[in-house]
Amino acid sequence: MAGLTPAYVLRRVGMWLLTIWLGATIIFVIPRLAPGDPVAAMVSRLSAQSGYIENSAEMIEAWRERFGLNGPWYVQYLSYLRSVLTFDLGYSLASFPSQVRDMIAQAVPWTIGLLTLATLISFVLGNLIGALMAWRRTPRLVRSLLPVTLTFTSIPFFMLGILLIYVFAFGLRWFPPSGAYDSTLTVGWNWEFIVDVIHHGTLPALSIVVTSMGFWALGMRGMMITNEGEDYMILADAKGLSPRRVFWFYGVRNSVLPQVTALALNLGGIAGGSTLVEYIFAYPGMGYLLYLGIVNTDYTLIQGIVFMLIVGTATAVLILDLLYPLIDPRITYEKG
Amino acid sequence: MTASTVDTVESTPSLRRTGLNRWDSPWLNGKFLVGLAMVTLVALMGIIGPLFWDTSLARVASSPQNLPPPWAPGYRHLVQESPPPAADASPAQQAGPEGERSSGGSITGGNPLARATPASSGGSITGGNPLATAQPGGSSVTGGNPFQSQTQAEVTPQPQTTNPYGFGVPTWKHPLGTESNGRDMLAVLIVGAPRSLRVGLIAAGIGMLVGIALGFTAGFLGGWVDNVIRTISDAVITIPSLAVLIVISAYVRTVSVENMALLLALFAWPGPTRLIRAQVLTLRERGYVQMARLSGASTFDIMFKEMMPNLLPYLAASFTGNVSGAILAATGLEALGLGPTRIPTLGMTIFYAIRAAAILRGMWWWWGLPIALLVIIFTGLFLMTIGLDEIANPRLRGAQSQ
Repeated sequence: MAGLTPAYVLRRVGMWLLTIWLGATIIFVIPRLAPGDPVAAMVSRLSAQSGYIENSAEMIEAWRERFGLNGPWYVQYLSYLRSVLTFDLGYSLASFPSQVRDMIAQAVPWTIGLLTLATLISFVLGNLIGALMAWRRTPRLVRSLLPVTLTFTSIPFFMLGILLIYVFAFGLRWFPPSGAYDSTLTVGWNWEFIVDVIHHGTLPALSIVVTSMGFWALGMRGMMITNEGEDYMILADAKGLSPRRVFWFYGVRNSVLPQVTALALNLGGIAGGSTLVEYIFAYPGMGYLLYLGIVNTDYTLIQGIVFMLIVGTATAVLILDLLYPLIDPRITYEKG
Repeated sequence: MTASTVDTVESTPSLRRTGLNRWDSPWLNGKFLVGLAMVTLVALMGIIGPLFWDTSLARVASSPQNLPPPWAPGYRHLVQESPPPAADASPAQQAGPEGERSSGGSITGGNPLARATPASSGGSITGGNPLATAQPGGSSVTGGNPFQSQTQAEVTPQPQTTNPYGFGVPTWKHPLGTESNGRDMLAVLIVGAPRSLRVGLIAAGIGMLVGIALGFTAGFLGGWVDNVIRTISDAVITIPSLAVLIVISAYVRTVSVENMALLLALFAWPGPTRLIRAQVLTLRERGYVQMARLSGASTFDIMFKEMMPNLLPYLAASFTGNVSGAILAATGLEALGLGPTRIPTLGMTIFYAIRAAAILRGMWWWWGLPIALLVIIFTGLFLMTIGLDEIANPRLRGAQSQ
């Protein structure tokens, strides 16, 4: 507990707020820098669909009013920040009466479930592989086999997803190609449904796990090798501790800490990459919703999702940062 | 290098691996060289390719389009054999071959056969993922019901990946096949691959320059400048860049390759900044830097003459990593349909392939070739990054030769 000083907590929470503010501001600025007026574009799209619109000028005015596009920019900005703080993300443009907040609330559990599981599995597996690759006592056969698992490291998530769909969904027909569950089943915590969700989630999760595993393995290998020569490792060996104990409590324990930092830094990338995986697999999470928003030019939906993605990753990083001093008692952040 | 050292190296084979000869430069790292060769190969394909192959074939409709002729033998037969359309199918789909053809030969060049199956009951309005919408009910927001569609497919014994007339199959005239819009795939690859590489190089290059400037500033000046730079780069690194890029491109819609690279550069600088700052902080206290400072070298000289050569492997590793990250983000945006629409790039090709259900139609060359090419690029860059890491950190090299 020594590392968790109030100053440190305060600093991390400040970072969290800064990140969210930055993200919200970017989202606020982009539409105003973009060429053309989104509201006018929307009206012209409407008129393209349904012919001439009687009083489009008033319509544009009304919409401007509704979306808070009236007034000088700082008034807009303040009202925008206020609505964002209360998670009032407005109405969806494409499917009007439904609120963006509700649409996102439906999608969030799927994304969180898929991402958390896939990231955890790949983190654990990857670090284990990396540690074994660097460990001198690893059997030669295992050590020569381990690098094979890193083959897919350089392939992006979603491309492996396409390959997996081709092989396992259409070729071998082991797994369904898309969706998150069979709609004939009732949604709930019954056994059948859970099994079906796992069945549907295997391929998307696999495409994330297999491709991101190598990243952790490489980092872990580097750390293990660096630690190998340290005095405390030699002492542990000299004391006659069992190799297993040395491996887990002296090697892995000390090498895994920088990996947690790396995890915090890469969450953003993982979240971004998984949106593509969801799109490929039509997995009903935030990524797929984002894709639908793009296709329907539903700007409020896109902005809402991206804002929530930023909040989500920032929060995850905050949690990791707050956990870090608990995992690593050596580090105190007295001065930040 | 004296003759005696060469002798000892040759006399003891164990030393030769780590020994001291002219080929012992750490830059001659196997992984680095293989990776470099792979990337160069792709780049060369883009440079030399146009000399051997007509790249104008990469334009829409310059090659045979994949519309089946209505008189094709077995076409009517196939339509009749397919299960009755789903209840919500449009009348056009029930109208038989002629209606099929008029509705099927759409702008997207979609394969009318694909529409003849119960498949297309709803895809285009919501614009859902064709992989999903090619099956009934797949287009809903909840992601639909693939399992049901599978059972349907099992009821009618019909292979799920079909290309009965061999649309766009590789021939001598079009060695890598064609896609449904009538583009020659070989030409598309020749045109697209260097573009993808260029996006990555520009974005990573700009990010690198900004990173070097900010990293050195933060590392040298320290104090509040360091704090500001570090805090902002930490915050930016947390933001899922792809998501923000999606917002930007959703508004901008028509992006050129260069603009896309500039957009990507917005998120390419924090990595190098952090790395260089950390390295500068450790290098600053080294003896040779302090020696240089004592002998009156200017800060600029210390930075670029003393520290830079030592940072080079780190910088190069970070650069290749960034290139691959930028290409990944670019292809991601393109695969969502947010790339440059007029110019064929690898990501856009994947997008078109997904949209036109190329997997279902068995046109593996359409989605497979751009992916294969991208995998070569990514693997090459990845190997280069690992190789450069080993060049920068001798301990990693040591473990490899054990």
